[in-house]
Amino acid sequence: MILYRPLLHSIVLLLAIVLVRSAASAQQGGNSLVIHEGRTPRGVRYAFLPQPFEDRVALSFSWWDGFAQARPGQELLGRLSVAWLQAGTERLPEGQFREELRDDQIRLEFGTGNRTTGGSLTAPPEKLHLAAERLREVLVTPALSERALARLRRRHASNFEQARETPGTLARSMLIELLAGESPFIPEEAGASVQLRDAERLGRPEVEAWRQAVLARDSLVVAAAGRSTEEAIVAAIDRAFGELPEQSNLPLPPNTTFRRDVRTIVIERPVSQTSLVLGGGSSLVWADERNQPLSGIALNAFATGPTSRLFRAVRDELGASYGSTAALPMIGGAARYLIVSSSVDPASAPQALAVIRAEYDRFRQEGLTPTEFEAARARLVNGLEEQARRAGPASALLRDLLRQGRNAAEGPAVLEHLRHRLTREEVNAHVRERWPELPLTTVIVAPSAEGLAADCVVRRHEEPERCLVSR
Amino acid sequence: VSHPWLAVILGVLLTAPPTLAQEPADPTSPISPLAMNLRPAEFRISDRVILVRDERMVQTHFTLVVHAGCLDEEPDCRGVAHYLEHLLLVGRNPDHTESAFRFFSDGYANGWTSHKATAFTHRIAPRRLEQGGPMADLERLFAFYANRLRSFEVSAADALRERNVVLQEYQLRTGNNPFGRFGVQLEQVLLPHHSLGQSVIGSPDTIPALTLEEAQHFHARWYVPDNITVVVAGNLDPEAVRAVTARTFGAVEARTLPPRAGREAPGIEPGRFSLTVTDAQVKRRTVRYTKLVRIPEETRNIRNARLLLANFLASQLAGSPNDVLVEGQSVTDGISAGVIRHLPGLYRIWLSAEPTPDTSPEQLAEAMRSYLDGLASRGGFDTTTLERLKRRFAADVAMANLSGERIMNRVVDWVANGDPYDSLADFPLRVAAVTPDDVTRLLTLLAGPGRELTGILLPETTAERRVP
Repeated sequence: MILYRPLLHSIVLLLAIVLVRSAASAQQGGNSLVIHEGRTPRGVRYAFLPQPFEDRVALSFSWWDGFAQARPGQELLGRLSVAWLQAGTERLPEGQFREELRDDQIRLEFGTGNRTTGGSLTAPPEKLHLAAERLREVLVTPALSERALARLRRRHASNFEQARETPGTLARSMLIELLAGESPFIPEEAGASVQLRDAERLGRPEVEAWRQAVLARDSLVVAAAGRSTEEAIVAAIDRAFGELPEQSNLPLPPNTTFRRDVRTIVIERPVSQTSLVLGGGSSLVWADERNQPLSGIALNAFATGPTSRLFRAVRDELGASYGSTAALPMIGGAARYLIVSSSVDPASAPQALAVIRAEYDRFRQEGLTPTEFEAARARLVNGLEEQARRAGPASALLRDLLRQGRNAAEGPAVLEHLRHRLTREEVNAHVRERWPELPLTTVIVAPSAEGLAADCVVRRHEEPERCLVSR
Repeated sequence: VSHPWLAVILGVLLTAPPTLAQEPADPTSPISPLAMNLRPAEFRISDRVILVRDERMVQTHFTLVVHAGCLDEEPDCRGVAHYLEHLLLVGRNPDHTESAFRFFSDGYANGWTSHKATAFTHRIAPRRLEQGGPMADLERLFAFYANRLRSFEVSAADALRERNVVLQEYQLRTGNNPFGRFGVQLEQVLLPHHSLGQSVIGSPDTIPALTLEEAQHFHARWYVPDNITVVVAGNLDPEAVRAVTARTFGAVEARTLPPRAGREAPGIEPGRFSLTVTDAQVKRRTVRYTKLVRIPEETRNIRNARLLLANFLASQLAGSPNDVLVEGQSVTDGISAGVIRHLPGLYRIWLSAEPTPDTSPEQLAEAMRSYLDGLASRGGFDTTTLERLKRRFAADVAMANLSGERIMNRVVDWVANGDPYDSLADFPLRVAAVTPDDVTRLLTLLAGPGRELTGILLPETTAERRVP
């Protein structure tokens, strides 16, 4: 499930197009529906998709971040800050604040990642103004109690320590470190290898500095969708965000470059199932996001669901796995890497590994068949269309579009292209030219390295870091 | 209830069909209540088929619930029902030579099995009218499952391979997960002689021993027309669904269901047990307190009070486990809790948390026990809190009534739990009628004799554990 998120997050352009179409098909009485875009009186950039057929209204918002990653030793500051921000307000402690939201059917969530911090607010249409006021409270008058901070530190520490013992997470973290070890976004992405002591040093001064630098109006984008009016949305946005400082103070985005490490690393652990993780840096960078639907279609055909190549090869034919996944997550909001994962029967692991490598090679060389292409395209577009008619997902998709600095008005022409004119050859060329070449970096967590042709083995009582550097 | 008439009016409003749940609206206004013609509605197509019509839905959703799960295995639960779910999806019929997983290449398909039911779900992509529209696809799916009720075929090789897939599913979810393994151990101590204490999927001991013949036998007993419910949702014409139902499921010959011996609530041997487990794959200490109690359901409101009590236990309201144990006593940084009705007359209340660094697992376990005792002795929560919980539930129901998908999920959950579809309609009314006395009675019973288990899961080397 986790691996689906970056995929869905990434195909913003296609979704924006679908939004336009979805909205148009749902309108009443043939009135043309448009996505309203503009700036609020307080200068916040916004977009709004009216959905009179929806039962809620949703706001999704995003700031540029990357503040913590520019400060060595503070890489987890963003994550800690976002969690602390939600731990109650000056008016009410955390529990009471959350219960008050629950009474009013208001949902408020924050998150951070990929050089952004953001969140979402969902409410019944008649409670939009109240919801905006609650969001304002969180942003402007958070409680920031020391007790909550101590609790958050302990929770983070506990989660990170446990993640290191989870075979799939450990393998994935190792892979990311091998591919992008120089990136300051590694602690955020590779949850199993975080330096816990760094998080201990973070406190109120660092969090206040983060708030001042990041939570400002100039780098904020807000997208709304649902049953409301543009006037009400604009008022809600300025109510929630209008008191934030005007100017952010962000560092320049760091460069993310991938290393090519073609080794196979096996981490021996007493596990009952072998975790295979293969990957490599792609040449897809932030500027390529408009082409992400091509990768979306290809990933769908390669590893998503029962019709995919990996399902047929590893589960249907070998019976070695319950399922396999593939994704192209973004690191640091800068570049994408391929990651293919499968948890397999240890007895079949060498065979499954060979099959995955062979299938990837064949897929990259030969591309999708006509049948695969049509099915994957339809699946992707239909699924997104279903999501886009709901206020929450629709607002998130619009927000991501704004984050890219795109204009939704270009949507219909591109949709037409994707639905009717996009060719299989375009997708296949994209895979061939932009996805990583073989051999892929391979990290395996297995009961034994035997038969897996490892270049580096981490024995049971050794730390995985011993294989991070090529020997 | 401070205002009984309010509960009645609220209940009547909530139990009306979703199409009548709100005032008529002006559909041209973007912020007025959802237009009447856009609100979903439920239709009983036949004894076994329910339609949720929502004109706003783009895709068509299909779920077939077979009212047979791991509790219906004989002599006990070993994973046969779940294995059959896999075989039914990968097996072939003469009229369909491809795996049902790939029934619609541009759609979605899956299955799930619980102690009480097995379900098969499909999501069908929108189809243009010249392609036959949604009903053509739905008829294919109905015909496919009608045939699956008659028989299914799977080769011995496919069955053997799929058995290993099941084993890998077990390893993925449980075997390779220390918290999952711990949960299995706790259940076996809590319910040692009943299928409720066994994992639906089976175990590394039972899965390799599953046979195709066992699955076929289970199929012959339980996959019969009178033992299924089909729930479909989408922009569908009820008459068209009725006609397709008659042509497909209506043509399947009825068979007699065997007695359901596994659905009897087991006798509970009262006592206080503890289980401490160390695991090298674990880095955090976990305490789970569970208590099983037999509760006579002399009035239905005991059952409905459970829902509100469960919502309270999961909340951060004053007097909740979070309020008392996290904020008040600081024995943990976060807690989950709930109360479940397994079978008629069999209830479980539980709490699960990690102790704070200054708290021992035993201290946390004792704090959990004391909390529950205190809650019962106080009579539960006050009237204000009860009314607050009821208002929230009513608001959730009203909101769910505006979404075809949420109505569909509610119906599927309801019938898969073994409850008759017709009893769903007045469920909100029954919840609205729950009184403080009902909650007190339930808590008193939960505090009575039962089978208590305190489970503690520890890292293998606790002394070396790093806590900042």
